Amino acid sequence: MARYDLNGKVALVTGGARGIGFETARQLHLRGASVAVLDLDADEAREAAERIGPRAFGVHGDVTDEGGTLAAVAAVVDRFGGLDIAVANAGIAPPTVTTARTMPGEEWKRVVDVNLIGAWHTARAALPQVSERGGQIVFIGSIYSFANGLLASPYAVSKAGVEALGRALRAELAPLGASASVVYFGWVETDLVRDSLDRKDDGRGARILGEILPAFLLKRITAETAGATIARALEARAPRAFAPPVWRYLSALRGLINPLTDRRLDRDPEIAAVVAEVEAPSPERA
Amino acid sequence: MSFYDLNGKVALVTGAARGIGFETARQMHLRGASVAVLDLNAEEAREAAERIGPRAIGLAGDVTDQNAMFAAIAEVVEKLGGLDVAVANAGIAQKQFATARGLSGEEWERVFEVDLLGVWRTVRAALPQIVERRGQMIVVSSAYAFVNGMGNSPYAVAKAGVEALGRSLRVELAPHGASASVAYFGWVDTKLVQDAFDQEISDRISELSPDFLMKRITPDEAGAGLVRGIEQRAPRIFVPKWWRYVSAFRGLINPLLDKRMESDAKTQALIRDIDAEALGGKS
Repeated sequence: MARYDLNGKVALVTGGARGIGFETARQLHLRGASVAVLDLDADEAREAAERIGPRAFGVHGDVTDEGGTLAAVAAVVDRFGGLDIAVANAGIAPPTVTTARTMPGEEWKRVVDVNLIGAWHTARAALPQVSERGGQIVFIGSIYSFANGLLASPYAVSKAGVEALGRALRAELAPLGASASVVYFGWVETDLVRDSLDRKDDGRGARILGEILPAFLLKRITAETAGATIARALEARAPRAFAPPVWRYLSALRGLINPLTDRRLDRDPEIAAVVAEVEAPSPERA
Repeated sequence: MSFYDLNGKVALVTGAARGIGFETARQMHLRGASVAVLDLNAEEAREAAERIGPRAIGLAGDVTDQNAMFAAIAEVVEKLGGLDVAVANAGIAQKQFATARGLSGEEWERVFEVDLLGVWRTVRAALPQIVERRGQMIVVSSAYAFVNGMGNSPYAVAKAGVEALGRSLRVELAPHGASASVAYFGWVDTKLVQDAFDQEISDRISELSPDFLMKRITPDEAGAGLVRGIEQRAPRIFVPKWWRYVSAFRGLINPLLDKRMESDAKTQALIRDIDAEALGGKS
């Protein structure tokens, strides 16, 4: 397949002020694209754009609001004359590592609203431009698109949904010469991962994962590597990309592996102890 | 694994006035369970309960309204003494095959609201009882949890999410002696599938898939499969059964099928026509 040249293209990256989004925007800019950095925080979006360079600008927007994403795309078109690429990156983790039973309903729904409905709004707002210009939409999947989502169910639900959306859109965009990709990340050194695994409840999240996963599946990549993965996926119009690469094989074997690992998790006394621990009312949360 | 006896249990089925939901409720009742038939339409729910038998009650309830679901569960507990098995079955499909581009935003989100968030609201309302009584939470997904959702994206997105929810729940409920199961149906001959399929475009979609994948089963067969799965506390319930193998090989098959879909001339022509119909009809 011919390489998709990023030079001269216009890209919108949601959640672009920090982490994977920022690195993606920066690296697309390095390759000659003009980039719009969309973030919930207007100041951070503007500052991020300044750090990225002359063809970057900050847009304030909330992906949970369809009107907001439509206005953001209109602003990008106004500024750069069109839109070729949308990277639906904005995402959050549940503020509490706990079961679906005990997680407050608003917290659960908020994760799905941002990660899944937000990606849908971003895609929907970008589709007319992307279809017209033979462009691309990138969805941020996760190993949680296929791994068991215990203690993080809204995250797994949203990432499984995002994967389904990206696959369907890719088929639907093909006749237009446009495309969609799903990029799956494991653990990336970002505020999202550090907050939910290392900082909250004295690193309980990281400890729990250590009990579930072997060390080689816990290796973290940098946001820079994640951004480079997205840039390369765009250049190749790849249907899917994985970082770290090992997850590609686990994804390929998911249908065979998941029933076995799910069964192991069901019966693991350590998991039962962890469930009891997170479900017990904690003094600081009360 | 030991047999879960439905005799004397209390079950709730959402979207149960018709189709798979009705059949599931009816067959659990046949096995001795008391059943609550929940449906958006109070009249239809009541009539369905009457047809099912003496230990069936009809309830009006909207799965898109969390408080209504809490109230419905409270009513089940009050009238039937508790709740052991909840089947989150209520689901809708978009009115016709349409790409994400051609579908109105409201319609996309409506499917998502009912099919994914509705399941979650049912789960939230039912879990306290299910955990207390070491019962079962059944979430109804679909082959669309892993089949490409081209032309049907909100449904595929919702069903993929439902599967993820059910798998997580099963692990989280295990320490309590309760369980969750994910049910996957292929094409069932229900009103939902008939509405989506009885059109010229649907025939062309069928043509693109192998016959064995398009074979429809009856709600009766779907309900029977579901009830057998409940009796076994099965983590995954597939009807027809051979979808189990498609699911097992999904990680290997999907990249190939997806690629074929995006390069196949017939599929592309079909998408163009679906788009032309939807976008043309909008003006």
